[in-house]
Amino acid sequence: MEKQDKKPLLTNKEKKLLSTPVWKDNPITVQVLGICSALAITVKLEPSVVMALAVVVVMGVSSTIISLIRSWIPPRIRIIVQLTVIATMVILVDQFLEAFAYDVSRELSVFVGLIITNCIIMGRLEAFALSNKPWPSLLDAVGNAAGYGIILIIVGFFRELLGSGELWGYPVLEKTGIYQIGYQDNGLMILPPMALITVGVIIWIQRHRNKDLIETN
Amino acid sequence: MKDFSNAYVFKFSFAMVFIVALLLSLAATFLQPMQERNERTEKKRNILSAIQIQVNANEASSYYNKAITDQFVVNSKGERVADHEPLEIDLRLEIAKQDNEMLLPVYVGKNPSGKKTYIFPVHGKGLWGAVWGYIALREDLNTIEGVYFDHAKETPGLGAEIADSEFQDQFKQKKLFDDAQQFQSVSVLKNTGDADNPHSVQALSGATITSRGVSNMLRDNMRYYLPFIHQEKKHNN
Repeated sequence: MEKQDKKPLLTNKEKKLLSTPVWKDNPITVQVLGICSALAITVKLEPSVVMALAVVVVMGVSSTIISLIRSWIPPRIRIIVQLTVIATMVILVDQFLEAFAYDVSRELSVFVGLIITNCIIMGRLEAFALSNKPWPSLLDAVGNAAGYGIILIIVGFFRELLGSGELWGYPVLEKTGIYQIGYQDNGLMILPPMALITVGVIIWIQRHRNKDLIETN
Repeated sequence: MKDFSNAYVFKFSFAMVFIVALLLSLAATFLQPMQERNERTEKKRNILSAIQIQVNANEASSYYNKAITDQFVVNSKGERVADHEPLEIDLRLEIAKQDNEMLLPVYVGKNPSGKKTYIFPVHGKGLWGAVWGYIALREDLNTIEGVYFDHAKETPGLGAEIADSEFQDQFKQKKLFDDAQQFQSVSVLKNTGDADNPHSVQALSGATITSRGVSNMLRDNMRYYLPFIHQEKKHNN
């Protein structure tokens, strides 16, 4: 290819929009948002992944829509408008899952509805999409949703592995023969407190590696 | 930020609500047939699961048509009521009605070894939400051939295990009536003592309320079917 792309797909600034929230400014571990749903659905890996994908879709589309209509939204009712857009997206995702992925929807149905209450989404609409163009808004939304999703998947991975000895419903620990030498699944991992502790451990590791994140007061 | 007049705010809200309503009703209307088909397939799979036939969603209908030979609706006196499609009845709404208005679906089929089986849907409350299931009885209308339970939102790893086959398999061979033909149901108990007790199974540890919910569901729902069961027994003899 001889012709040089004058404008790359993503400029450096846009790459930052996408990557910062994934680790350095992660919504869960740094901003401490969206903890509630992180507790509820991370018992197993599969719902964690589906939830992460659902949040990416809902957040990306809502952010783009809000950004597109941002100059028409009266500031006095902006919160209501944001909620309406998010709620509409969530209901659509729920309906589509019910029609095309019935088994997954049955497993997740309550939690899909709870995406509406995920404070990360409204936080980003309010803080970013309302005052930026659609493309950066979409990137910011997808970045934040991915940051949220990655933590869900990490927590879901460890809780399913240590709590029930399975991954994606497949009994991995049984294959290793670890049960024969007296290993037992840790039932505590299935209960909500262990999600908090797992998130806490992630926060610990992250702050250990990146001292800038440690608050001084 | 510029200021918007009240009239604009109203117009904007109306337009927004209109668009959203249109979008959602369109989605609901177009997706409804698929969702209803999924629900009905799920019901068929559950019914088949109660008589120990495990199938995936694609095969459910053909297996169902082979295994289920008769399906009808009875009232709380045990009389058949015509003109109702059993698969379309929502048991949750029926058991909330007065006794004399209840419509109860009954399915009659053959288990894999060709024996006649009666399948009764049940519905009750767990810890966090609804629990429901299907109870398959042998031709004597007393011995349990198999059960199927599911739940809306019981705790994973604890109450949610009522949907696991280890829990459900305990119900096989249990009996609803004692030797004097009195209705005893099958209870889910913490300390059953012996596995041979025909009227109890072992509860799930850490899920006392869900276990109690399953007990209550069985006792309360099967009681509604008692008139039908008594008539059918007489008829069979």
